[in-house]
Amino acid sequence: MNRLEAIRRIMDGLTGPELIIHANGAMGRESFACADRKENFYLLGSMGLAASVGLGVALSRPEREVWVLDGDGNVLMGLGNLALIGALKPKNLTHWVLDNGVYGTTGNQPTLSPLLSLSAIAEACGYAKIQKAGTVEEIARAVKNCKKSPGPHFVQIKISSETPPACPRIPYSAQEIAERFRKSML
Amino acid sequence: MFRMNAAEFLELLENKGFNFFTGVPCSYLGSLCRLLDQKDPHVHVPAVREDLALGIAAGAYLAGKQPVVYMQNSGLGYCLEAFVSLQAIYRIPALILVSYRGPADQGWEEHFFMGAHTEELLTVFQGAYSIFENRISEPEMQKIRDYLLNEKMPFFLLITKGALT
Repeated sequence: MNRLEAIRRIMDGLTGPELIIHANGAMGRESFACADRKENFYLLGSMGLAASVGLGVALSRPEREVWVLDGDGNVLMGLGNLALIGALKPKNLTHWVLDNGVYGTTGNQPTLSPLLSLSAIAEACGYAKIQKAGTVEEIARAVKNCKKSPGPHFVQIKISSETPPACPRIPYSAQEIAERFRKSML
Repeated sequence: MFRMNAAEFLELLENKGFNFFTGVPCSYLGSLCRLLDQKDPHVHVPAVREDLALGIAAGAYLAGKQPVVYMQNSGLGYCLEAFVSLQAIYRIPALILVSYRGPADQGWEEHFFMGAHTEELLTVFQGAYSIFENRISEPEMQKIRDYLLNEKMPFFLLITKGALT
């Protein structure tokens, strides 16, 4: 499964106004192409900070379900986020990690992900539930499990490093993305 | 010198609507950190790095909070990318309390460079700032709050040694 297909499968699991923070790079553009919604927040830069933003949203709005759509390179850059999320345990947060083992947006240079276990790190940090998925059925099951029990959830999805067809840049300015997302919560 | 008690300062912040705090401690801000540490994680998040604190504060703002971030000026270096690609382009305000280990402070080699260039750095990155070395009045804090609301950009308050007791 490539990244675009995995994103589409995760989005199939949306049941309402889940708030989704997207890490920078191709991932946000692909998610935009799959299903743009006002509850989507796309980081254009700030690599490593998607989970920080997600944590800030989740703690501030405990009644809302918050998803972070992250990549392995991003998680490795912001490993401190795993410590914060694992320790503070926001029940409403699900951390999806699309793990292709490469920096996909910059030309598939290898990340350290194949040499270590991001899931084991998340578990040691204290996430409530760790899941791994690699097929359509496993992603569907992971979504259901996340909705059944309190988080924080960590779902590592192994995807291929194949580059999906390029998706266009998001046509909104950063300020428009922020205003739209903020208003979706009012 | 008229110094300001941390409890009084925190009360002033809360009276102005600041209701979410995150950051990395500094001994200059120790008395404030002790008060914040007593708060629930929905109100105070002790971050592990300054740039992550900016990310957390951005999330809190997007979710309707009025955030404050605190750090030592050494942490500004970690924050530059977050300032330009998060706070600045998305127009996400935050009051950023920065303990100022500046040119007047002697003896810490690791702080010399950042201490000498903190204000210059903020100027280059278009960060509005003021220096807090004795007291900060209610009208001054109101002006900062108005700036945050109107400009939707971060405002930096540089806090010198001993200003906050």
